[in-house]
Amino acid sequence: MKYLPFGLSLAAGLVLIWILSTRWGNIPPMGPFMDPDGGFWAQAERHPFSNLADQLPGLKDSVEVYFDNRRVPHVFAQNDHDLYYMQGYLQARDRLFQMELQTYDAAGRLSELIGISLVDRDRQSRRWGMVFGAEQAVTEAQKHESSWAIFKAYSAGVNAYINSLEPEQYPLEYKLLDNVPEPWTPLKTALLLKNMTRTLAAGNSDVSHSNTLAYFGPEFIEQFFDKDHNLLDPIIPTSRSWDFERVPVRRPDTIFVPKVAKSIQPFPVPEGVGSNNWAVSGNKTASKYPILSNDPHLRLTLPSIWYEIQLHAPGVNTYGVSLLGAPGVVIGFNEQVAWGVTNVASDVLDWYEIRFENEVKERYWHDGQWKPTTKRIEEIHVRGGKTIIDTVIYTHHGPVSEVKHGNGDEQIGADEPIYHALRWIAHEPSNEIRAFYQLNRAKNYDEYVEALTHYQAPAQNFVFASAEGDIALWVNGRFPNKWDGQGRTLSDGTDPLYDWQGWIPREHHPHIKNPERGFVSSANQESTAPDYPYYMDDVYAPFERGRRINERLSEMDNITKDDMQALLMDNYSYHAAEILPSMLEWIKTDSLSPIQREVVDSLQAWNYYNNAPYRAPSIFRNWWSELYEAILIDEYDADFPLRAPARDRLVQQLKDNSNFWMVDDQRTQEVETIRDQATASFIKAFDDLIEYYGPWSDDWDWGWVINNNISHLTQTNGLGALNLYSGGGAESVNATRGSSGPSWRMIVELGPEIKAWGVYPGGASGNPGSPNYDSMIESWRTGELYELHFYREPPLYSQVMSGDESNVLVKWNIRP
Amino acid sequence: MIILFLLIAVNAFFLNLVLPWWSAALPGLFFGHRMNVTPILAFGMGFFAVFLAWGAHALYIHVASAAVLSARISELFGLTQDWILIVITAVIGGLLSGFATLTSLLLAQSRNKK
Repeated sequence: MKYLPFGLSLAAGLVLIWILSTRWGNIPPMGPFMDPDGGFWAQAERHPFSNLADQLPGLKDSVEVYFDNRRVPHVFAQNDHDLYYMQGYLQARDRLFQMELQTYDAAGRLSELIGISLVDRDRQSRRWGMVFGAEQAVTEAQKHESSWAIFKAYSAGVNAYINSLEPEQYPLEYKLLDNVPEPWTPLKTALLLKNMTRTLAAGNSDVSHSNTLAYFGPEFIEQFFDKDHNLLDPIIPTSRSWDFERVPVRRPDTIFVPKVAKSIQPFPVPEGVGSNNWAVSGNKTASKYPILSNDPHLRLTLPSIWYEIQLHAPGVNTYGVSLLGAPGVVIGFNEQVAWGVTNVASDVLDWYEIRFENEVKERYWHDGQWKPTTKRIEEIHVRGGKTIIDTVIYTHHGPVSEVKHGNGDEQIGADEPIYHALRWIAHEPSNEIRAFYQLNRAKNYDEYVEALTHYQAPAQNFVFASAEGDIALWVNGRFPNKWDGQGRTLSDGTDPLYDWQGWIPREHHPHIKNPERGFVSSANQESTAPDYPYYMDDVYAPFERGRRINERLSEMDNITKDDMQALLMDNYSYHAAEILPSMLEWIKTDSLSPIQREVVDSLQAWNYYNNAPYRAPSIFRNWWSELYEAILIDEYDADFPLRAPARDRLVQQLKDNSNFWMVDDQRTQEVETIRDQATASFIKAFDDLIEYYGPWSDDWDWGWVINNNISHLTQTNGLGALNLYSGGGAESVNATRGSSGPSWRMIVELGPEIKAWGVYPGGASGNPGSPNYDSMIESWRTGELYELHFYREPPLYSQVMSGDESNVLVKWNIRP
Repeated sequence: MIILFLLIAVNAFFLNLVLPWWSAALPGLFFGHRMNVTPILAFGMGFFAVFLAWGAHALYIHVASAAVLSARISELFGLTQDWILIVITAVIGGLLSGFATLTSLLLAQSRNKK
């Protein structure tokens, strides 16, 4: 008994230690997390450059790195190996957790990192064959010795950093999740690239299009999806003629009607994936040299998707933004040329209905015979749970997903399971790293074109300008040669006429060099006029941004960097200009209250710019959404997915015939006219704004209503930048809205002395405890650009030591 | 007595620089049994010694890093004031040390009871 007090005290202490070392739900283990030396406190950055090693294992020669005033690293190496090794090391040093999270996501391993809540996401990644695709890319890279050497050098650099870490140096997120980094491999680089393909080239509406076709009929499809908008100004000017015969393909006589036109989750293409780029030739600029500009619109996160870097070694000197996990510069410039990208919404993902011989699924019917399947066992490890085994069947089309048959819809009448195979560009062997390797070294137009031949997915509009004075744009990627409308609906997996029958030859890709109009541009709109001989797709972005850019560039002369900067920040809404005057005509003002009439009057005076201090964009945006919904809701009230018309097509329809058949709400007795609908939707929009933002006041400013929030990748509270008062809009060149928008703004002025400016909403460091975590957000928000320090040679000692704040450089020498 | 208090505080601070978080318990275990005080006082001395060591360390980092991270972590935990985060840090270290000191003292007392 005399030891009892001691025993109790000891037990209490041990229980305390156990409680403090255990993760409770999402709460990290508090002992290690709060430890002032090893816990999160260690990430509170005080000396950003204190842990620079003098020596790194595996380097072949000495390397110099200069960190500029925004902490952008400028790497001066003496060979390619060391260059990409250092890129890997530096990216890991600044963004290790982000690199890992992206590749865990691509590999379907998030539940391993976080837990059971992410199993569905992981299962989808596996069933979509993400790892299969990455493995194809690794095999392809291994065939090309110098590419493979880069993959390996990059991995070695990442691992050198990981291996140098003591647990207390692990990035904050590892401490929050109670996890540790794992070694990097070339497969992870490939996975990262597949993740980009999933973000940018996984859009498809095969199922909903099949449904829409069955439900509304072919005339509806023609009206809303086939015809180009009358204001569409395609990327390749309509004046361009095509002096070739297309490679023929055989097409089926009738279009396959799938068993289910239901229930596969269409990939949610996040709004905000869309971008602008352009280049103007020297005869339109003040400097007489071309100027190139690019702003890729993506989901905005902290840390940012981009990492700015300069890479200098014999044979290469390039600057721009890179992706976390991939060697090379993706968007940028070198001493002779500049390039940028926007996404191409070509249809490179198709679903095929598969007929299996029996439940064993060892054979499937295709081309008049039973063909063998292969199986891939997927093990999804779940943190704190049992491993889930998922067997994925592969046909020659690709991996198969089982479609859950819904709740007994007669039209489909499917009681048996239904299987869809995925044919997707991401499964084709490709080597995009090689494309960027060559692009980073390109000296002229021909070398740019040659570099692009190695690039396959996600397809991009590659804009180009050179110091020699050329401007160009290639709609670049690998495109299946399809018959008109192929893969727009669910395809017949048994009929070889639905297979991809080859590729559009490279020389037939839409492209243009030095057009007469003196500029090239793209804003995700349709690539070409309808006379282009090949079918690519029908889901391009609305015409608005593209038309605005082209009109502005046509008007401009003696263009300077400031003009380009103004265009990047252009908030003009073609959408509002097109439809608002009609809406104001339709609205019955006599049924409005005095304050509502005042609001309508303010819309009359609006100049259609989505500027932050204006209230009109807030009202128009909400009014239009309500009207759009009021028109479609009755027809689209179905329990299976349907494809809704794009914004600009509906606008066009309303302008052509404001009382066309969909306007009436068929669920009511009376016949609603557009005037009824416009008035009711205005009142609803007005009431909603009152509810969310209070009475008509500055709180209705578009700057707030735009709801611009940049969250941390894991959505963790406290790690984001919220409520950023901003202008912009989905239909404006400055496509800021919600949590999406210009993820990197860049302007490059070519010439003997290349000049460049850029900004992205974030900072070099991924550490929330660093001032450089979000240091550029304010400049990004207000449309400022930083002049980019592009050094032809290592900066001089005097520059390094100059005390001038704007030109602070930290020099880091590393020995092998 | 004040010397033991200081020994615990100083040792806890330095041990934490080289050992993981639970090292906050070690000085209490080592010095606790040399105390000639009531158990409650022993716990209190152990607690406040490391409360001070960890609290001062956290406070220093908070100030030296211009509160960039502590503000974010406070928001993450839903705390309204940054200083609460420093107090939580200090209390965790303090509790570890308090129980360790108490345990050490009680063991010694139990043995002496023979």
